Amino acid sequence: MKIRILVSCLLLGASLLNAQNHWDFLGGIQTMNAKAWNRTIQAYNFSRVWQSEPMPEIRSSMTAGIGFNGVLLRGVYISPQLQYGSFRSYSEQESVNTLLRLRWASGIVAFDLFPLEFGLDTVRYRFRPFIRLGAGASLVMPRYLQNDSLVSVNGAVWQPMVWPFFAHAGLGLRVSLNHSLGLVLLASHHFFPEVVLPDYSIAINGNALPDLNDADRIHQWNVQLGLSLRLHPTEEDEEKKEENKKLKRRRF
Amino acid sequence: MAGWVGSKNKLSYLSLMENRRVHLKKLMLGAPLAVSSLGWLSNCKKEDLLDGANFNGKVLIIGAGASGVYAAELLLRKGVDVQILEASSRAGGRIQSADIPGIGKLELGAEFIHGSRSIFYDMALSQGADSLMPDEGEDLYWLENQIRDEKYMRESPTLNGGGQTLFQIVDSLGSYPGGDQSLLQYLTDFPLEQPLFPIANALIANDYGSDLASIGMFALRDAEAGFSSGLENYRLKQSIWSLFEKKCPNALSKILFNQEVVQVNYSSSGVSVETAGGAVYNADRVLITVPLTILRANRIAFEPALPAEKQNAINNIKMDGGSKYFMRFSGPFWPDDTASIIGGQVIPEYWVIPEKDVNEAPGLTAFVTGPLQEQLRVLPEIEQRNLILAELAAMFPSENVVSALTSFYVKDWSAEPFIGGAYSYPSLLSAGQREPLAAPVSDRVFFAGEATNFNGHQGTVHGAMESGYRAVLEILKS
Repeated sequence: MKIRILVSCLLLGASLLNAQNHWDFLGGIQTMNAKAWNRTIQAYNFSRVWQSEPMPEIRSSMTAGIGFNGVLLRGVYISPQLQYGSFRSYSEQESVNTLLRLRWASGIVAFDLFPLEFGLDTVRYRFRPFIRLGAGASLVMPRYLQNDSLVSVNGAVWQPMVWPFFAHAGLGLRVSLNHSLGLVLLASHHFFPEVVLPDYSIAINGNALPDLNDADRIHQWNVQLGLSLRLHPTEEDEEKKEENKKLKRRRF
Repeated sequence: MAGWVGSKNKLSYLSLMENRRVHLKKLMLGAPLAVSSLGWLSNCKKEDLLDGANFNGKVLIIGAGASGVYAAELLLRKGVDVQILEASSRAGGRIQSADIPGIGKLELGAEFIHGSRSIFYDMALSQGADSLMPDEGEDLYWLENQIRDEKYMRESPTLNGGGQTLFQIVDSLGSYPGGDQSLLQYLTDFPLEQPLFPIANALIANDYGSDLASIGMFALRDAEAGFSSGLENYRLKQSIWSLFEKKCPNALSKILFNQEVVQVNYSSSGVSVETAGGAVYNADRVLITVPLTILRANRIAFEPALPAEKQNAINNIKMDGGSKYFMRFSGPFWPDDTASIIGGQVIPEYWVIPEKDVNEAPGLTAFVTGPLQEQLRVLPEIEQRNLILAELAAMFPSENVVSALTSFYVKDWSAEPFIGGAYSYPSLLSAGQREPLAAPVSDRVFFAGEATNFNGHQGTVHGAMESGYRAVLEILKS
């Protein structure tokens, strides 16, 4: 944990020193393919025959994120990012309401590759497509409430916290609105080889039946749109300002 | 959107660089797609719960207890044709709610909801949280010819720390590291202080359905380790069977009573079931939910005979007798807030009947299983009553227990012709036998019931319901 924080700080510091860094403020939506965990929800719905409203499977959540983008080489940027989302499944019956909530916070370290900028001396693009490759770790906190109270498993309130790792890949586009403000659009995929939520099937379904698995292979697809803030205008921007001033003087 | 260039002299170099950039772009564009495609490819396998659940024929269910009725409801909701054949004249099996004159409304059989993480608990909760009564209060222990509390048990110097040791043994049964032996042998070798043996019998063996000498450590370890529904206990304000009647209404209309099944014939073309009265029923599948005692006594013949592994499982898992005695008194002679009195030598465990009605007289239930129950039940009822009252009088010598008794009722489950006992227990040689007992035969004959629960919930209503759920999935996918 300490090493993770230290590396994150070093990367942040290196980026802040560089004139090309951006701060990104993102919002979006992510969908998740959690077959094993949804299978447990299916078992819950199948076995509670008296319920009129089934418990929905966990599929999607809104996300919020913050990141920054710092140049390493021509066309290669390092891009740490924090992202938060919360998957929910809520159902309400006559005397029972249930809420399954998976809070999902992710820390990503990725490399943004701008293929149009490789080998060029200068760059002055309004539209900058990029490819993102990286990895990250998440903090996943599942909670299950019945009638607004957290359920217990074997005498203890069920509130695990797990830290799975994932691979991350995506395609994005940066659009410069002016010398300091821009938009960023990113579509990405997170692949978690395995996420284990201890006692998940017992907490949700009330028993450890065969064919129910607490471990799942998770795929998340994210689409994010956000504002990009460039803190240090570049020399090219200064030249452009001077050019613009000259053009304005000539008019008069 | 070409990059700005400075001089024509660099054209050939730039052209080379341009080709490299093009190739690099193509490679880089492919990289995230390649990574993502791994995810897509690994996602193709269908894993929904009901994948392959295509059965839509007819199912005969033998037994209208908790597992049979619940399984029938699940099948009916899936559009499967079901018929339930019940040997007796009532549904419920070992769930029996009754209103006994002088005693009141009682659960003659299953009485508790064990834990808050189970299908049974959720079924009860759907009636409203106020329909559940937590089992609260203090346990008292009959030790050294006196009533003691838990504090004394844990701290008494006369027990040489044995009371604390017993509680630690109970807590650690799920991780027992030794070889298979009886619970009696294990405690003797431990060694546990002798005065604590009746309490150990009550806390562990009697609850599981027998006595210390009959419980096997491997099977007990597996049962303790698998038990996951929770440690808290609840009772229902309403009767347990009325809950099933409300939540499984479709199944109840499918029960045929007084149909004792004596023969099951099965083949690849289906199943045929014969009753003692000569009736024959045909179907595509049959689900057997009868108590283990019926299978052990070979009261149902199978043609072809059941596989050897199945027959071994039936022989190795035991089910002993059980009785519940209900007593009302003119006044309570036990301390307020008493939940149970544990450790009697006639009756291992007494518990206070919860007050459902302010007009009800205070009462106790006495619960005994195994060899102790077999010794008691052969006596005339009046002698059984006198022995119990004598034990209670010894426990509370300053109270006039005998004259305080106003009514007495006994439910002997061994005497039930189509049940013959309490519930299966973790006997010696039964470790690992419940899965073979639960396994279907030839995709035609399926098994459910509390004895077939191999997740640590044998002997419970929710364990019976889980087994019904498991068998229904097997049938739907057969």
